[in-house]
Amino acid sequence: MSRKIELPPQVRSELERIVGARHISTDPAMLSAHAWNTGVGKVPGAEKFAGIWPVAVVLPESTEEVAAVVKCCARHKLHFKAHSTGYGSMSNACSPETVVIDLRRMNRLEIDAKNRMAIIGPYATAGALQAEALKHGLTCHIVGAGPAHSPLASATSLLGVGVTSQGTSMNARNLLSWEWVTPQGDIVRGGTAGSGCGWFAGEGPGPGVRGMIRGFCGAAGGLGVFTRIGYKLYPVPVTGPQEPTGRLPQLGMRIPDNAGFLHAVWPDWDSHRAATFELLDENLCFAMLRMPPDHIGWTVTGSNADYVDQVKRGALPEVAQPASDRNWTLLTLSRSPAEHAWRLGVVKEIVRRTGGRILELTDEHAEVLFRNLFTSQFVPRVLRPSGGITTSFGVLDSFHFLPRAMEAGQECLAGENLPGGKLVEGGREEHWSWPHEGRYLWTENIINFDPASKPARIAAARALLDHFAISWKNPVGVMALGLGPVMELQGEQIGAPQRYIRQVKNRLDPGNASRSNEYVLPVVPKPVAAALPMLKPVILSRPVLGLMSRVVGTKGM
Amino acid sequence: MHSPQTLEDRRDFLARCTRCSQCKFVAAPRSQRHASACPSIDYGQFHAYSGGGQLIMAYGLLDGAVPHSAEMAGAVASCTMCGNCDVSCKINFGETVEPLDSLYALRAQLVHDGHSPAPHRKMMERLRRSGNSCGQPRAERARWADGLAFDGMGKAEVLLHVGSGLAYEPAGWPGLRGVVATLHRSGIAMTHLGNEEGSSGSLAFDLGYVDEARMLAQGLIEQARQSGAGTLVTFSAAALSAFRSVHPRFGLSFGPMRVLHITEYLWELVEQGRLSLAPLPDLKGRPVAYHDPCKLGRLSEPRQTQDSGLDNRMSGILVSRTPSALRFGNGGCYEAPRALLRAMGVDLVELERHHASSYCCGACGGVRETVPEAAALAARNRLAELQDSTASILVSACAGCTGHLAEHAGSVGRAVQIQDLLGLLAQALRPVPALAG
Amino acid sequence: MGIAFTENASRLHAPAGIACSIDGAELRSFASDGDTPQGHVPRAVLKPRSTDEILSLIRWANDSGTGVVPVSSTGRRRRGDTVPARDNVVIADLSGMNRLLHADARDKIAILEAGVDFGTVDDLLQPHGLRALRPLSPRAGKSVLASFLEREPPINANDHWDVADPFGGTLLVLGNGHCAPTGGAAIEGTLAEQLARGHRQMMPIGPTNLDLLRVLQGAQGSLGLMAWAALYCERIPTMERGWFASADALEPVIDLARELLHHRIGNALFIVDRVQLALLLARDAAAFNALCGALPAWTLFVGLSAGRQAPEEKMAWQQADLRAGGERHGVGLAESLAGHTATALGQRLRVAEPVSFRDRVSGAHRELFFLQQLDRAAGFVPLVRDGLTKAGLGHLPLGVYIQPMAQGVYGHIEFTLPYDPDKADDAQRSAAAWQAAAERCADAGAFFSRPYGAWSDLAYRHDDGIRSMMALTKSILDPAGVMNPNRLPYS
Repeated sequence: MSRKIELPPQVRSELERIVGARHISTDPAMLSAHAWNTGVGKVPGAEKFAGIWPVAVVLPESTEEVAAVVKCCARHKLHFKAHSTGYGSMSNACSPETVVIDLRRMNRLEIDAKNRMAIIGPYATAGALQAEALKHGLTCHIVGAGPAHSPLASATSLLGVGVTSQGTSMNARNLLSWEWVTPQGDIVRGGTAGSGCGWFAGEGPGPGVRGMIRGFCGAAGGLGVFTRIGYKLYPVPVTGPQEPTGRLPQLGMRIPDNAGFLHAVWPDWDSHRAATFELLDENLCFAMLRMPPDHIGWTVTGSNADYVDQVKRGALPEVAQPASDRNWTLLTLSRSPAEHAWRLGVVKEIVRRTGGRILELTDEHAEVLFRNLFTSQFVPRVLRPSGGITTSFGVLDSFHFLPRAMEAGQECLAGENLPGGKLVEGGREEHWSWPHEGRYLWTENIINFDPASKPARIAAARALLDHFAISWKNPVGVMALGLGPVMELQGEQIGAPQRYIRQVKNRLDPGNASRSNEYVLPVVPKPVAAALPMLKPVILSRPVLGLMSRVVGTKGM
Repeated sequence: MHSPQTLEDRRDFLARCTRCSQCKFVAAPRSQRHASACPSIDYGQFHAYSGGGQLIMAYGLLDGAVPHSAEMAGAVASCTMCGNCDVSCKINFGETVEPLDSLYALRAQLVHDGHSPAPHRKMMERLRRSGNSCGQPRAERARWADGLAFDGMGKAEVLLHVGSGLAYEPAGWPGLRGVVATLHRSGIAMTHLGNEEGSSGSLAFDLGYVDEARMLAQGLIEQARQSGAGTLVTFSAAALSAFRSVHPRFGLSFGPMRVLHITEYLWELVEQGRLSLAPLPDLKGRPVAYHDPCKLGRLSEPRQTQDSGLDNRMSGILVSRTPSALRFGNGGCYEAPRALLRAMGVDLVELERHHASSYCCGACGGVRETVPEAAALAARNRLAELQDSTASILVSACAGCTGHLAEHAGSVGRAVQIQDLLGLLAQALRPVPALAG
Repeated sequence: MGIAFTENASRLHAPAGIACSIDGAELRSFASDGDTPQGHVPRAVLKPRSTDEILSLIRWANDSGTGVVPVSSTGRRRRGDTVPARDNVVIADLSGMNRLLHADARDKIAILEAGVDFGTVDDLLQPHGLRALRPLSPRAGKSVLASFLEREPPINANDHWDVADPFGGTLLVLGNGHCAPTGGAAIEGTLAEQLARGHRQMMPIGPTNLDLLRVLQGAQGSLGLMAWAALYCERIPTMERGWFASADALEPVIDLARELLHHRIGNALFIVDRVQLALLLARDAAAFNALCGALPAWTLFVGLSAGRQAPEEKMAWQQADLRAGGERHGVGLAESLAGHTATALGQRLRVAEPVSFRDRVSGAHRELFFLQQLDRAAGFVPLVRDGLTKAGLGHLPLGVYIQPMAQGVYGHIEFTLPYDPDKADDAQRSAAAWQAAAERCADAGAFFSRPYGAWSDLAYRHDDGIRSMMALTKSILDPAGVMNPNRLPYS
């Protein structure tokens, strides 16, 4: 643990006056959850606890309380880090002077069904939002973190991509009006809320200043606290709570009337891509998801033991067999039998015409896969086998790049996920891919590894780092992981966004009180900034990548 | 000798918590208001109060990063040990985290380290002294049975186990006595353990007093064995849970003796045609919701004597060594109470959280005695769920749940009625004449 | 390229190589527009032909302290945003940068320079099987990029997922004199290199923690300008048919529009009252007056289309759903109204004319538009109508246009007041009445996302937090304040 900071009594008193004595703690027992180094999406080190522990955790109930906490921190030269559900290590403090602001008590959730939107607070979870929205025939975008994540956090502060993006966009674009406590404790409302007109639009009057504080990625807690947003919802021909089918843990969901749920495979990536462009024509599908077959296997089995047993016996269904890797799971949603007949007929014809084949699914498997797609329960489950995942090749561009992305994913795994390798055994690559709004490709290559094993952590780190090297050598698309230090290396070639971001950070938060490790580096000395791009070839050389992998695998990232 | 796993045994399981927060929510929420799976975090709000939060705290305790403290004890004591987090976690993580076993181990660690909360210590003192945690006189344990006829030890086919909750709750006696009387009229040869009836060890285990739980379990098993009965029927949900999921941790069992909850036994008799159920006019046309008690539901899922270890297969996939023993919450006693209610002509509706995802009423795990405001909040939350349903009557098959929910029924807006299933059964059960003797 | 300086007749030191006009008439033409009678006369009109020339221009402006007002459209401009708000300003006229840089039917995307206008864009795209998304009947000289940069709502409501639509990646030149590629354009290499690798600049957001496209939208050229952009297009349908869905009241028409939006039916959807529809249909005053007497009070225009995939089948279920929706909401469906077919109107909406349809009948018009949710739209109509009546202007026709945006989350609500500019009394009194109408709408919840002229002050009256963010933004992206100075309240 880093040096322990004691919260001065007068600061504690001030914070108690703001949130109530019951809602503040400095006890290590309460703080431990904010120093837990899970490494979800990252590679953890050997130690389960992070080196830095916060000085206190507070639970405000309102925007005004958040603002008061932030101002209190400023007065006493403390830092703060806000989080919602705190998935993974997102809730961790980044300095020992940090007050963690746990937004659990701010769970407002209001559905405006006619206008297909919701007004939500930080702790309205996606699962709860979807449950409430479904009462009105609406659903929400749910990102990879699954139903327990906060849509507000995703929409304002992180990436915001999820498996149903074809029909539900992504959270950077689902964010409507917003309320934000600046790093200095001022309350700013953007778009319509700022003018007292509601929560339905986030831009204006005039420029869309939101673009200065939330781009493709959010600031991950490094730039104040978002406290309330308008959030776009998506109509679906499904209304009311959906009683699960099946038995725990294999909960399924009845496939709605006039819905098509198909799993198709193609003989090669070129025909898969040809089919994809046709499938995107006229938005035939509400969701299209390509999962690696082993991950499908994890989903259709109730435990790891069941999965491994079925692998060994060759008993996995065809959808989960390695040969079914050039696949799409396709969901069509229609509101009438005639529309359903058109959508399903066209989809099947495209599959046939492009040389694809529709695989048989048992009702149980179809319902389990459908529920996991609709609720995005898939992704947390991908942690089940080993408890460790990181990702690579999060790229966005034309589906033109799909075959190349698959090759690149294979290249960076370097055979380590084949039998005898250091990563969890899987397919040729481990890409999850889906389209956004009928337009472009999102794909990311999931690296599964045993976080308790140092060689596995090093191999995972190497695959992650190799992905940058491969991407920069021959770009596959816009890189989703262009964050923080990565952008210091890459930024100068793409308009130097890191310079603007750094200005935003330093102007709004001169003392770096709103501290996050996933945002821009507030200070990069000019000589370093100038040298980094030139050093890129060195940094990306094999010996340096090897060294960095070992460091990451030991210390974590 | 079999022993439950210690916190140290659980180290790797603790380490695998990804802090995903799924443990805080039921697997398939139907509304925001009733999406929570965890009464403890609903009360404490800090993440440390959740299942996952306790795992992290426990790891810190093992690691030396987190010292014992009043706040830790408070968080641990606010947990009802209801196991809902375990059900939710397994949706994502299968056999690799299994929070509940670690929560038991954490409580045991607190006891071991001398940091068991004072109310827990008092409850255990009373349990030691008088066989029940409330300190009621041993001599009054069987007062419920005054005037009822039983068969002697060695002559009975069925041994009735009442449990201290009902044995010392006169309000529940009419139902208890009514059911027993009907069984008697049906020709069932029964006996009971009288004032000497022992504790199942359920509470002691929940509170982390593992050794005493073992001794209590052994004592009761011995008592049962001496009864000569072939079937043990318990009226206690907590006892059933202990019999099915705690005793196996000690390698203990009732041997060839069948162990049933009263609802299971009665439904069996109904199905055999030895009992029938008359419709209850008071409930006709009124939707009734059934509250799955944690102890009777998910916590009664039978546990096998198993190897809890995981093997590392396929370069990192963590695989249970005894996959057939994995429990996901499906094997609890869910259907017998429902079947009995339906047979009484009841229009049964489900609350939003039911079966394995049922929300705890707050009464168990020592919370009612230790953190009464947490227990009260849980009860109010559960009653709010009833209010959001079409039912205004809530039936439970656990005396603890019924009493606790009834205690708080007045604090919620719309009038609700809390009904013990036993009381309804006492009114509705009829011996089938042709077989009644 | 470096900056060389040439001395010209007006002592303007302009960067060499950029075409420059100091023609008095041309300069004066930029000192006013349809809504702004008198602004400042620019010192020159500079006409860059490439991104490099734009960069040179902006850097020169920074060095010389000269203001730059970007203009990409031609013809009669409105709303004052291209009229210099101070002296010592040059116009950056991008209308000559009018190339289609790339088009791709497979990805339904095209890369256009800033000067491509609605009069020509479909001709450019047609060989690629594409056509542009477009606002309601834009005039021919309106720049496509400028239109969407100013958040003009496209009538293609189902494809308007977000306010940034239909943009993909773009190349911005900021007031600080640097290029800022956004979204899918923020990737290594020149545009040509990117295209050669197969990139299609499809992503509208980013890079990383920034979204400068969103920042520059609505900024009225006060932070930077756009050299080129990838725009999502529509594949030219194989079948297309228009429908009018009409009712006496607005609410049922909105309800039907909402239902269609929620079902994602219709490639074009907008609501107009009888005056606005008459303005769209009529070619002259007589026809306009006749139509005003013949058309229903409220009409939802629905354009149904089908592409390559079983088009007859698709048209059949869409029409069946439309009919069922009409019946459900008590809205009458017709293929034609007063002798005009909806299909023909749909086709005419794709033909941009030099003069705005709003000016076609009376010669001039006032406009008032803002955002609000569709279920609140009806409440604004009497506010504006009654205000005009009280001001003695009840004789003037008032048009209403409601454009669902963000797939129906909210709408653009627009009032059009055509008037004869030669009738001085109408012109003067309507100006005052219009300001009062804007105030009443603001009080009732109108959100002026695009703060122009009459309502630019109203837009900011509640919003100090946003003004401070605007100031921060300006200081970072245009620290010398060269871009469209004094246009928006940055301080």
